[in-house]
Amino acid sequence: MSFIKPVLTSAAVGSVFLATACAGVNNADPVPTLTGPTTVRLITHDSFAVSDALIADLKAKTGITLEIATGGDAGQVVASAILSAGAPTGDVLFGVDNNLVSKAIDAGVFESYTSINLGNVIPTLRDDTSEGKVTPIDYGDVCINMDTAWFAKNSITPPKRLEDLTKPEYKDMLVVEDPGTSSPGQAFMLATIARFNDGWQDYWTKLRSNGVKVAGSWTDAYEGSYTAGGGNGDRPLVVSYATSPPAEIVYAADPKPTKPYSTVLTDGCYRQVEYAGVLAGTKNSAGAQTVINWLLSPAVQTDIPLSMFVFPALAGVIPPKVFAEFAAPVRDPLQIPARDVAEKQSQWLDEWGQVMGR
Amino acid sequence: MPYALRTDHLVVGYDGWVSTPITLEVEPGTITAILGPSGCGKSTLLSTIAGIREAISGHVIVGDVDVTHIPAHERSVGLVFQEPLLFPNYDVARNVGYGLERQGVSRSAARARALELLEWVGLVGYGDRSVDELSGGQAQRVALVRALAPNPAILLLDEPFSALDVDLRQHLAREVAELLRGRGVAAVHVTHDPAEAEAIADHVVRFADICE
Amino acid sequence: MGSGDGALNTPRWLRGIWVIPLAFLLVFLALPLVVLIIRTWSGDGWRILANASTWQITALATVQAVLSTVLSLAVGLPIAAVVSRYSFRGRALAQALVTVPFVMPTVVVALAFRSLLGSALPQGFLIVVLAHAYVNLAVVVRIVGSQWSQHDDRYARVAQTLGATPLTVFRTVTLPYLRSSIISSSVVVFIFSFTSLGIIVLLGDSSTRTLESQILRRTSVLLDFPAAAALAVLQLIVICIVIALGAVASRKRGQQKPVRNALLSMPTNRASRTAIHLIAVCSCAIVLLPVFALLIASVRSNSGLTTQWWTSINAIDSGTTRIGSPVASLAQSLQFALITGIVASLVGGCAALAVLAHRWGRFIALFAIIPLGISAATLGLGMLLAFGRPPVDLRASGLLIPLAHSLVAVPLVVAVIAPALRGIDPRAREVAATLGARPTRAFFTAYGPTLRTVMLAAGGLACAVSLGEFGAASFLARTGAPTVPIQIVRLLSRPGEQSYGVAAVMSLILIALTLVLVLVVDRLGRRNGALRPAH
Repeated sequence: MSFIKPVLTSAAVGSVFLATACAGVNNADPVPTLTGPTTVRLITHDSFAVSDALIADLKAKTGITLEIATGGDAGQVVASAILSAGAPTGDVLFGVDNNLVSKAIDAGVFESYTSINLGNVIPTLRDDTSEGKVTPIDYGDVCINMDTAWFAKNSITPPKRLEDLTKPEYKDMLVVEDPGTSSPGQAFMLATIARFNDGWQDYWTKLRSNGVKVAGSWTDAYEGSYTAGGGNGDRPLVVSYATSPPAEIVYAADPKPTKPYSTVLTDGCYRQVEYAGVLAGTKNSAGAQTVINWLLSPAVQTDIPLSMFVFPALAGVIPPKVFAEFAAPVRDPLQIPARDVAEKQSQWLDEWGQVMGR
Repeated sequence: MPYALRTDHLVVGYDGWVSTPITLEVEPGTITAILGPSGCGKSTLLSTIAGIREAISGHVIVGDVDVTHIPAHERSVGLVFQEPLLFPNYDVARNVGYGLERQGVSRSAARARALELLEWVGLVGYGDRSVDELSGGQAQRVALVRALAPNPAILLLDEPFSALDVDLRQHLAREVAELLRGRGVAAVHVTHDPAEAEAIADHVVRFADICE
Repeated sequence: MGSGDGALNTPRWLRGIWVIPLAFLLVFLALPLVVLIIRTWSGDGWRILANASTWQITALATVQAVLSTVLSLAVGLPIAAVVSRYSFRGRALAQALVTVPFVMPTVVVALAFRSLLGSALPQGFLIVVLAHAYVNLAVVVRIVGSQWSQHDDRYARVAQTLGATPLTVFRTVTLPYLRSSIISSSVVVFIFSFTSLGIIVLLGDSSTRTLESQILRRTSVLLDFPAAAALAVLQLIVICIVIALGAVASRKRGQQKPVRNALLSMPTNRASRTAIHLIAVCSCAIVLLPVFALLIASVRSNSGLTTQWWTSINAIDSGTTRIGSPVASLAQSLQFALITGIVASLVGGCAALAVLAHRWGRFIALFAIIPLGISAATLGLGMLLAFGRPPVDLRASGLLIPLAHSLVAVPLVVAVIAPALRGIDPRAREVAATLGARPTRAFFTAYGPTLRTVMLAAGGLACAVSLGEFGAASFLARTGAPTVPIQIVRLLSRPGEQSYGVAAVMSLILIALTLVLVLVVDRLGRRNGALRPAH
């Protein structure tokens, strides 16, 4: 036992120290506008990113040192948050999406807060705050991506609508992700449910007989099976994001290509919104609220497209050039209310599994 | 009449060390002792005769067969090491019958024969025991009859008593010599102990002569 | 001269040593699981056990795991026979290379397999079994090899002179000697394959689901914790049954006395030499083929060959929180690996020693294998719950990650150390005691040299586990630089050839790092062995 003990002791001392430091700040300044230095811990998924300069700016303006703690993908982060609801590992959470949010709300993960910047959020997202518990920060669309060059080379007209994918001329061309293991995979399944209602299982039956390939993850589908991906793929159609084309350019080899390899099928896209919320039980609500306002500030919102490849929730943000040119604007995205997703998700996944024999 | 064993200008070697050519002749039913300090290639010579190490040049002839290029398991050469090296996954009798089983003798027949052989060395009733229950001297006796069981044309003994204490060593050496003579088994006995060599052997070869 | 169990001259501290592994496992394994079950308890969860599909998955996963184990043994035993027994040039390198697949992040293994086999092998049963065999090769080679390397070759020689053909020698002498290590490595490979997650998600289909993949779906997609807990308990029960079967199968029989530094010099026979070289070369080729695919990916772009993935690695995404510097990630990974290596080899070493010193020690060693079968997802969440309340809020300390890694590594450490210690003749200790050495001194005289060698080897394996591991820890939120596997996964989860190229570069760096680590540890182990000759 002798070697475990010191470890436990030092950890305990560390957390006591942290707790008193926070308490000191709160006692000195109970009002939600901060003056003294403080640390705010942001819990988020592994894909979170902002420019370092913005974090430095936050510290300069508010005294807040932002500590970013990542813990797996969005599902894992929310699962952890639900289990530690009331005794959170941090102060603020970013990255809960519209498919997960209602379960987090039900578990009491968040305390109410309405951001001072909420009024400037684009109207379709503005009201979507789960009764003032969460704040929309960004959104993205899961869409079919098409290998432009492949279709040109084989003189085949690319599909225009979701329904086209079941046609024989697109046999063995599509790769999708398993909705049971992949977030875009699940979004695409939800898109088909939103689009075809009771007929969604028939649609998948047709996709299956038309040779759809199911990959375990986005990486496997895009890098492994997609013709314009990293490997030796053989599928010119893949379920990905509306923002994948600009990402292809940003993350291309030098010299950068002038045009992306992929174009987006803008029909049948599923919209994912990412929210942030103050974690219930935090000792630093004020700091957490400041961080939410910061996430929704014009500076961070302008940074979001190129650091996370999603669209900013704030209205009137001028997108970077590569975004303006190549990210596909989706006019009528599909969406299913968070409540319905929470209720029926398990059943839908089972039904999908039966249809696809997985 | 052929020799039980003859080496003809046999050169043995190990990790770059090479012996001078060795010519050794062992007549049937006799015991030859090879005497020499340790680390002198005596064990390498025995391994080469037994076929578990390849000769560099020269020949090994067992009876009237040149076995130089015949694998160990077809040579009919028995070998006993310093330690008994009994197979712990088998009981004592199965150890002794191991060689017979390899000759196609059924397991029960091999066992019956093994019990007889154990009797020779005073180990009546030990057949069913685990090898871990044997004392050092008992284990070495078992190793000896195990090597004798398949009737080898020649038996090679590589310092078989040196791990035992002095009293036991002398006693066992005499006992083994009697046993081999009684059965008419030819043997080569390697030792660094001149007294042991004198006690057991018909001929003594001093290995220092060829050990450079 | 002492006989029997030798309890009289067992040092006192040794008799109590079982407390350390037991406490470690109770606190960091049993407690999180129990807390998770209690906190998420609901009768609903257990209904999943009434689902036919749950049992179908269990049965299929069992078949899959058995086949993966058989294939690992079929490929691993010949490799172990060569690389852990014969001394030839490049042996140490070959031995280290075989460890590499074990620490490659599963995502990398899956991609490498995909780019190697292309569409020749569709995803599903076969490719999953192949990938499992590839990854677990190191388990077989390390565990069996460490016992094989101490095999006294003269047993085989004696059998040969008694008329046994090489095949019979293998069957009647070598195999019985290796029995315990073959069984323990089989148990480990089975558990790894049965509870596999990454490879299942990336390469599997409906025929290769595992309970673990269902648990992950329940925890992080459906957020159905009661069902996840029920499945985790089911998985645990299966694992316990397998461990018990393994224990029964390896019931102690007589053991050939091992020797240390038993490396054989190359046979003079040309055919044997050729065979040995061929197996060594083939084993390296098997290991390196997927690595070669990565190497190509690291210098290729759509417009041809490029070095920019290598040169840009430090500049990629600089100025954002996205990736951080690879150097920082390497440092982070190494730090976790070091802590894991120390904790796991101490705890695992104590568990292995408990086997010698205590009547119930055997059960401690068996208990120590269980973490292999614990669902990574439930362990991660359980730790979060168990250590998230004052006075022990370990969540924030960053210590939970190496602790989770250690849990996964301890069983491997035990599997390496226990057979080696069991092989030492307890009489050596008794002899030392009769020469007047006090119990502690006598103990170290008999066991010290071997203990040091195998603990180092086991510690190296534990470090390697930590370098590649990412399952349990991914639930544990942490600040600071991401570990290298997490970096790779993040890079791979976005489009663009840069992401793919740099991920390949980072995978290669991880592989190189592991190679160096394993080589250094092997060398340390050998040097310590050489300092103390056998007599």
